[in-house]
Amino acid sequence: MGKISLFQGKKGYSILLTIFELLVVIAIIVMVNVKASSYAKSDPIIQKKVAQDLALMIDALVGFPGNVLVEYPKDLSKYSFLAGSGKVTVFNSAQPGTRSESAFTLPDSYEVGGDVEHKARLCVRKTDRKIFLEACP
Amino acid sequence: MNKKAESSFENAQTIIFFTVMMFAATILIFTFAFLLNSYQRGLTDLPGKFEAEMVSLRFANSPDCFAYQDAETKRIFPGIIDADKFNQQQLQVCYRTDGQSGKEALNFRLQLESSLKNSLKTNNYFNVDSFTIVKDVVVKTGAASGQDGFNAGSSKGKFSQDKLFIYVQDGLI
Repeated sequence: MGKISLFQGKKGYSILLTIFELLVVIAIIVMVNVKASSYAKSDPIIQKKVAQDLALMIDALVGFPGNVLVEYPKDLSKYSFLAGSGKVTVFNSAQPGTRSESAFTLPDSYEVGGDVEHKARLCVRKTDRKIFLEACP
Repeated sequence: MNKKAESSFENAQTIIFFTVMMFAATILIFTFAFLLNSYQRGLTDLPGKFEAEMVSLRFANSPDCFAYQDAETKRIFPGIIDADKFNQQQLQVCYRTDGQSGKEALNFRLQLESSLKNSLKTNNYFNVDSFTIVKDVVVKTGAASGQDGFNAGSSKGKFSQDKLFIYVQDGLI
């Protein structure tokens, strides 16, 4: 009986309103978190990360004497890649207009190139002073 | 108060209420957009130290930078710095950032512990160090000598242990 009277009258109304407000605030926080984590897994973020990984890979390969072939450990069939002019560009054909770029810096004598479209396995090959993006053999 | 005055008072109250609510909603939307944007930046941001470690691998390992390469066999010795190559011209060949946007990129100042007076700078380095990377290296100098302590002599030159200090400027803007 005492519990029921807690939510009755003017004071009870005020307590109910406070609880309702708290629930709304919690619901908003949860919604924002859900939205943010789904955004984190969305394509543009992955696209940007792949571009950064490839640029870093090219930067790192300069520091390895000899020839190297490295495979990117992820299915990249959604994307197309272009390497050259000091940057790697990643395109997503499912979302035209979205492209991610990441820059790298090479010694003067190095040459970078490569154009790969929708291949599941992407490799970076370093042969002497040439670094190329290509579909893995 | 007559009915007309009462009604216009209520109208004014409603207008003020909606103005305040619209203002609050706008601020909320902008805040959310800003938070989402900074969250995205946080997700895709690379730690500067990691990037600098990757880029600086070349200084001691690539013959296009300072790594020693045997003239006869063409064999490359990663981790061994050729003292004859350790100069400003070679650094310009090894790592040169763009004249316009290069200030935003990583820039370096390099020093060997054995010759702290001699420091090499990349083209957009402006003495704003963010952090320092230290690498244990071996330095090969041209002159031949006998064995003494860390120094081992050979007909091809003298090899001595050293430290390479890499001062990193992680973007000015």
